[in-house]
Amino acid sequence: MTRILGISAYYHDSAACLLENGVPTRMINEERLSRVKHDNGFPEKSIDFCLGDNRHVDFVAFYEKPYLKFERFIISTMELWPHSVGQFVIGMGSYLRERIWIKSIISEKVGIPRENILFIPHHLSHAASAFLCSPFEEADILTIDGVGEWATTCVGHGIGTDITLTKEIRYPHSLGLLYSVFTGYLGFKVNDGEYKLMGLSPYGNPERYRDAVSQIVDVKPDGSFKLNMDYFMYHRSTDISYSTKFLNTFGPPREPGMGHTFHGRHADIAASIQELTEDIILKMVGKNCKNSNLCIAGGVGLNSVANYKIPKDVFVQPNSGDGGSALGAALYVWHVLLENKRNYVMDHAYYGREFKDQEIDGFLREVSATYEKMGRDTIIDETASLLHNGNIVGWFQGRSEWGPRALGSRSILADARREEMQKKVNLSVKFRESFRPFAPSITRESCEEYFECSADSYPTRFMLYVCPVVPGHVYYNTLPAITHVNGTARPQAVFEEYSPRYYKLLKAFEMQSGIPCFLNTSFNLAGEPIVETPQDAWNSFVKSKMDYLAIGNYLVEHP
Amino acid sequence: MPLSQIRRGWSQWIAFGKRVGAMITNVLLWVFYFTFFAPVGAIYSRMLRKEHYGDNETTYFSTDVTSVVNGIEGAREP
Repeated sequence: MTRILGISAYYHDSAACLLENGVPTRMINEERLSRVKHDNGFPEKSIDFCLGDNRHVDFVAFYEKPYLKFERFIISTMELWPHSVGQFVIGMGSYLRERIWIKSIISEKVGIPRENILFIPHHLSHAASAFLCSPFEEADILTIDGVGEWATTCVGHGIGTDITLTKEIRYPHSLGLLYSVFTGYLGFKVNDGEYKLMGLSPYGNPERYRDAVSQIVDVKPDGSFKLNMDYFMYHRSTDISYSTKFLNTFGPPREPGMGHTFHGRHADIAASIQELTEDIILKMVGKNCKNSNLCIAGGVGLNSVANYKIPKDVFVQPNSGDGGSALGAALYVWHVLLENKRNYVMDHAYYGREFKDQEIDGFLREVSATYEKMGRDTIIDETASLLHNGNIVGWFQGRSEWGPRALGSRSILADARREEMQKKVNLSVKFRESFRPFAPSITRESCEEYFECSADSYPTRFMLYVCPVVPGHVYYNTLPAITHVNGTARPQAVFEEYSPRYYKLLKAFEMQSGIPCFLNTSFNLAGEPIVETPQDAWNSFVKSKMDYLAIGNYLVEHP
Repeated sequence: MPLSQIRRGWSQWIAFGKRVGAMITNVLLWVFYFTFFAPVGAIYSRMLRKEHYGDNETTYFSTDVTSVVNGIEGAREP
């Protein structure tokens, strides 16, 4: 059996994945284990989890070319001399300490000969992470993120095991970085709060700042774009990402200290940037992608509002950002470099850790929790009753999910019919901004009855489409906790064959409420990674106002 | 002198050495930055820049793609 270990590290969202004869068996982001949100260090804990007791690995695939990235760093800091002095000193420190020694570090920590460590360019890793685990034999490929080595956006094509990237846009012109600049400007954390900007945008009117936005980005009819760098500082500063000219155009930034307060101006700016992002993506797809299938990867692939508007059969894998490139690099080595045929489609996202009842029982005793052990089906029926009666339940079952979406293994659940749940879960359970919408989980069979999306499309399975709740439907006004201000939702279609336990819970809830759908949000508190272990789940459970925790076959009461 | 004290003494010297090393590296970086980057860097990078950004009339896409791997040997190069 050929074992390939994929690694991503040193930018954000470090991760590792293990491929055995071309099929991923274990994959995890480092943050889940280190408990550091978006951990970008060397993913030692993830590697240990992936390899388990068998430390033998045939190849290690790293998700980018560090020397090429170093070249970009040197040249771009040269270009901006002397303004880039701070960036140069800080960046060089990081490169000299770790990043240019990556081959030695991997060789030492994994115990593998240096010649078996392979480096796959960043956007090729992204492209492979989508195309090579998609159901498509042939597809166009679009990768858009902050920045890799030089490229920030790539267009390409895949047939069988062959991937070719044909065009690229280079640093510093980056849609991902542009989105991040506005994320920071609106008081959210960069590389973390981008989806908050997306959630804020429906509250605003894009018209107000449309002209201002067109001054800072020039978009060609083929979707290629160039930023006016007079408005930005991220290419020359490590502290601030926008310039005085930017502030003169958009006004003062929203300070993080403003808590949960947002003005109309903030929402209007968010709406303009979201509109621009969609415009660029749609133009790019329209002019460059002729195939009916499209694979999207890179952080911008998580923009589920834009994904839904693409008139193609779209595949985005659930860990579309840098973490997912660990998988892409490994798949590229197996299929392209070692010339093996395709033998895998990512039908689900459950590749993380699992805990046996015995381990859970031991832990619950250790923390003196009040709990009851139930039968496999009893706990499902009991949880459905609790949700039906207005309780908020932490749901911790089976293997954890790959990527930033909670898909029914590490979730917080609530009744979507209750309007108060949106505020209650935001403010009392997750301690986050009250405007933020929640997503629903729904059985695959009922998905299209409630939401305007194909239940069988992969983005629906992985919660990567934001689509309208069916207008005029009898339930349109009965799911207020998951229907956003503009009448949309981000549903997860749950398949019985891939998530049997979670599917049964939806069916049990339907038996009691008449609706096979409830609110599903990630099991974490604001600013923390999604829980991975019973200990993490317990810590979040006791700090919040969740009512119950259903962990394995144990139902735990809030202390 | 007990062994533990000798060890503690050594580790203090090593920590001091690391701090001095880091300071020297930092100074060298600054010197390198101001002496080399100014005359060479700015001119070179501005010349290079022109080649990378499409034709600027109809597109900003470049077809000179950097994300390529030349077989397994090419992948061995970091």
